[in-house]
Amino acid sequence: MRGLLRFIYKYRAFELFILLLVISIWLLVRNNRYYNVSYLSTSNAIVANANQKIFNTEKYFSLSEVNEMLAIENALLREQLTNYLYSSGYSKFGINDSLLDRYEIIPAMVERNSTAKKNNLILLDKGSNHGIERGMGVIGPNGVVGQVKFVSKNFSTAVSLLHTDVRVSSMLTRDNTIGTTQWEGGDISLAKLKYVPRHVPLAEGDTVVTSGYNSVFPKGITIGYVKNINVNINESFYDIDVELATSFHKVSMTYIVKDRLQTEIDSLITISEE
Amino acid sequence: MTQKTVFTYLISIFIYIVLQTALLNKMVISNIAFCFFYVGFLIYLPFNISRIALLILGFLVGLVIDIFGDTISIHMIACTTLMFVKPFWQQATLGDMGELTGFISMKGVSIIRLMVYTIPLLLLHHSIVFFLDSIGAGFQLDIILRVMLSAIFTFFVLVIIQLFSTKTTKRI
Repeated sequence: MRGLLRFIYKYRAFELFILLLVISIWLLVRNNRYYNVSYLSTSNAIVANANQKIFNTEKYFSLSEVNEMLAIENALLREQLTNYLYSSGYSKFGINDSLLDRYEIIPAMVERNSTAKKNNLILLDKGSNHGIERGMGVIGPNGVVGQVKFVSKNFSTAVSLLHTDVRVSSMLTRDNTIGTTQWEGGDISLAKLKYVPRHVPLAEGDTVVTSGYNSVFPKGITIGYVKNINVNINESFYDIDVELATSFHKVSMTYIVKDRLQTEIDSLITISEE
Repeated sequence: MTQKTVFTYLISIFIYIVLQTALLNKMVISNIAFCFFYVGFLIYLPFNISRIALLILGFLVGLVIDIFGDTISIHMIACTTLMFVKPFWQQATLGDMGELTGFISMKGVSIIRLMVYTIPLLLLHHSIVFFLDSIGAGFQLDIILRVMLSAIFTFFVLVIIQLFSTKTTKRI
């Protein structure tokens, strides 16, 4: 034992040298992506394989972070898209003003959701602290979700499209016919499209989008697809079943649409109605 | 080592590192000759410093240079190796000069012997730096050219500094 200690003590400088070298090489390999790659390729297949497995496992721990990042990025893209869609209608008139930057999109996660009731509500994790106000539209990755009804500091409640009081001003993409979408209870994947006159040509599978006539939703957000067309001889309107684009039982990520010009529009409407 | 000498070391290491990172990292001749003049501090460290202290000093100086130059570990490895080799090489070229204290300089050593002592150490350090720097880019012949020219360049700068900083020129 004493001999061993003496040996270690005698070559202490060399041992320290090796130690420092190992530390620096470790830093080199750890911090430099390029060296990391070549280190992996020089290692044998087992080590490389194990590293890959560890890396794959580590990926799961950062998933929520990645999700959040993607949501923010999606919101940005969506904002650009809505503003683009909105502005493309104006571009032929050569108008270029604040209208082109009309909508702001805020990502929000669904905290609680119900589909079983007659009037369903969705709890979202963004509130007045994040700039949410009453009346803003809520859209999902696939289409319309609902409208914000109550706002607290950090949360907000939205009435989902599955609420019998909610009516969404809709439009058929085929020929821009205006109608109103309303859910009447029952099947959570079906809603009614009302007030589409009988003379309008229609086919199953036609896309129903928001009209943009009220300032809740931007124009052109998908609501659903025409599923059944029933004609009642006594009525002047079609009876249309719309298959909703959003699957409400598994909605988790939403975007809240803020219309920057809403107050202006509202005040104008109030004045003209007086 | 008295407190005063430790203080001088700290001051000089600070000056070397500041000059290197602020000024000489940008002084490159036609992208071939680099000047790693901070190595002079390590190479000319006094005789009577223990090997452990030498290694730790080399490691730390390399670390600081790496952090500032954003070349993680390259200078650390080069400096630690340099500090490991230094005592042996010093023994081989300069012999036992136990009566001398302070930094090795032209005050105590003739310029030829200083050159014989310095250039191989510079070559060693520069080879490690350039080799590690070029891993992955494939081995290129101009690394050798770089090592050579950089060593000469650095040595010139070191000699110029010595000429400015040492007053007497008594040689053995």
